[in-house]
Amino acid sequence: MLDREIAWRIFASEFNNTNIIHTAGGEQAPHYIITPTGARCNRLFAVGVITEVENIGHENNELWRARIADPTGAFTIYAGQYQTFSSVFFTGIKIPSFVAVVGKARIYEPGDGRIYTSIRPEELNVVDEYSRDQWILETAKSTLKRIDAVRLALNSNLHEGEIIEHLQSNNIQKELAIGISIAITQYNELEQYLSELEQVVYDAVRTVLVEKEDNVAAEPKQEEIIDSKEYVANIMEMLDTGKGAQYSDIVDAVRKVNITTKQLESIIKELMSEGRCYEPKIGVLRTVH
Amino acid sequence: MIDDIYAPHIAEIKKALGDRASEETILADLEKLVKYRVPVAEAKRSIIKKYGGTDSVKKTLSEITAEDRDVEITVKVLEVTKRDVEIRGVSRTILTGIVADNTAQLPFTAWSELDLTKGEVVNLRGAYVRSWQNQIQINLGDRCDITKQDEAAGIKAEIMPTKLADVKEHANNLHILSVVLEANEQTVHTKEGDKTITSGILADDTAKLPFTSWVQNPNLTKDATIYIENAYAKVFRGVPTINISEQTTISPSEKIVTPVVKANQQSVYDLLKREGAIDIIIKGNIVCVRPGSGLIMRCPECKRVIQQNICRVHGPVAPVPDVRVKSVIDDGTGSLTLVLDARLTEELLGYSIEEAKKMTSDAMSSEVVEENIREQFVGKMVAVNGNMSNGEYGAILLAESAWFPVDDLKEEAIALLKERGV
Repeated sequence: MLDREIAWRIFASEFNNTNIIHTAGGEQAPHYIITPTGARCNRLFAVGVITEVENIGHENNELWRARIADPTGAFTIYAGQYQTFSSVFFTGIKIPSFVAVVGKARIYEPGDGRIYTSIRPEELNVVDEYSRDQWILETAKSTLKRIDAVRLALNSNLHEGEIIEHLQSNNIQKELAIGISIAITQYNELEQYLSELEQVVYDAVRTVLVEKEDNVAAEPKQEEIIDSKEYVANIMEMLDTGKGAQYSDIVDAVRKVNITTKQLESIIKELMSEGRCYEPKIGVLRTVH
Repeated sequence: MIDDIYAPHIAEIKKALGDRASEETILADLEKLVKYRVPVAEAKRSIIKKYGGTDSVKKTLSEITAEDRDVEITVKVLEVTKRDVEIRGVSRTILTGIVADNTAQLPFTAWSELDLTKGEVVNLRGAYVRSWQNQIQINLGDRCDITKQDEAAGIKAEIMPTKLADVKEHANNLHILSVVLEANEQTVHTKEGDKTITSGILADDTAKLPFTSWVQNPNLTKDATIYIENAYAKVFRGVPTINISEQTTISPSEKIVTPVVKANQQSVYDLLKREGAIDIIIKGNIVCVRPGSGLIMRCPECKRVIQQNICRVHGPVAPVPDVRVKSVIDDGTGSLTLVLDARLTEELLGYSIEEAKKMTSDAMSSEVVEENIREQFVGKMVAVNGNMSNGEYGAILLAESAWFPVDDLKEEAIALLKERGV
């Protein structure tokens, strides 16, 4: 049985600094990219915020380009006619929202010396903020582990062949050991890059702390008020089956989301004064279209 | 003189053959082959072979590789047991056991009843090597030459117990130091009538594995620390199971073993080194929900998944609905197939069989449940407790329980930064 390729956890910053393609012989052999920390990567798993979606294809040749941002940068996603599920996904997606992607790592070299990395998606899904923070921490941990392993290899002063064995005897998994043996011979000034990347990783971890503090601070409260107004307006419309919505039904419906009757009264007043709803008869409300 | 040219070769052949052929016959054969311009090395080899000798290469056990075809080793027989097996319909008695020298210990199989006794040191010529289930094994055929050696040959090897995490399918003559976590007697029906067997769970500091004892033994009691000699491993329900037979001895041990009691969380990479495991926890992200998830129909007879109400074996049947999730879980070190049964699918994702049937008929689509599961599940981090089997269909994790971990990520972030001193 052929082993499934690992889905590596790599930050966008490191992914976009990758410029080595590696093929392990044979026509059918999978293509890998070798990141600066030695991830020998064919597949990756990332969670971030989708910030751009664009259909850049022609009539019969669909091609979607999207960007998914993490705290360190953004992944570019390209999905073509063979990723039919992705056109359904991209058509319906709200920007911004939290998105998980599983896909193949690609490198494109236009020939002018520049190198572009991208992901060809196999799976796309909407997730929540918690999943994004989980991913940041997991990715930070595995990136730091790889940074440490590369340093171990650099400090050993061993030859390429010996390095793989040396790393494996230090409990480093074989795929990574192979990747590192290639990375240290092909990337220039790797030590300096590792120190920079390490700081990038720490900054990413700190975003988990910052955002959590924001959640209990001022900003979301405002959002909550806006939300509850829209929520009540929606409920009103949904409960209206032609003859208006019963006030008592609205009270029941909003109780679930912790809007008190008092708050509801003032929201309805606000909606009325904005001309968005009216009361055709006492105890019945209708929205204005 | 022509004899002088051949003399060293003849001496070498003679050494390999002993009394099997006289110098004259060897010379005659050698001259003949050389006349046909057969290279001397090849000629020597074929003459030795012709008279039943071996041109074994002397090796220590640590030097042996799976490619070795003909080796000479001097080893101590640490363990040997007779087994009756059927080979292509013919029943034979073979020997299995463990040999060791001062460099390593390896299992062996002798394909006939060779004269090997536990504890003695022997020189074996004409042994060959097979790799069976990724494990190197010494094989001894009919042509193997056994020369008994003095006890004083200086081999101090003692048998080393195998750690439970290293137990492979079909391992023989296993010695295991472990704690009995569970032991239950039960009666099973066999061809020879009813039999009482003991089954349960053993644990050492590396893993837990199930065991089955076909004999009753007073030492197999809960919480006992025991030393098992001469057990064998067989895969049962995808997990290597320690089998205890009449040839196994079990003795209480004074050694201190700290058993793995709780399910231990490990990386998929470490887990995949094993051929099966029970009661393990892994934490990873769902990277794929496979077709065949959601609402499925099973044959009422054989439980196979069926299409269009027709079972491959039982023909047209009344289908029994079921729900399940077949997915791939990946923790960044490796991946395996994760299967959730109806109970866990409902617990984790909220689809009971009834709910799934309703959704399917409402949407008039057989794939609606699978689609919904995919939307809820892909990308999510899941922790799973269950048993892993790693056979010809790849690694599969059968979940006993599964949950979405809810950790304090802020705390985790602080701990990570602190650990790195920033």
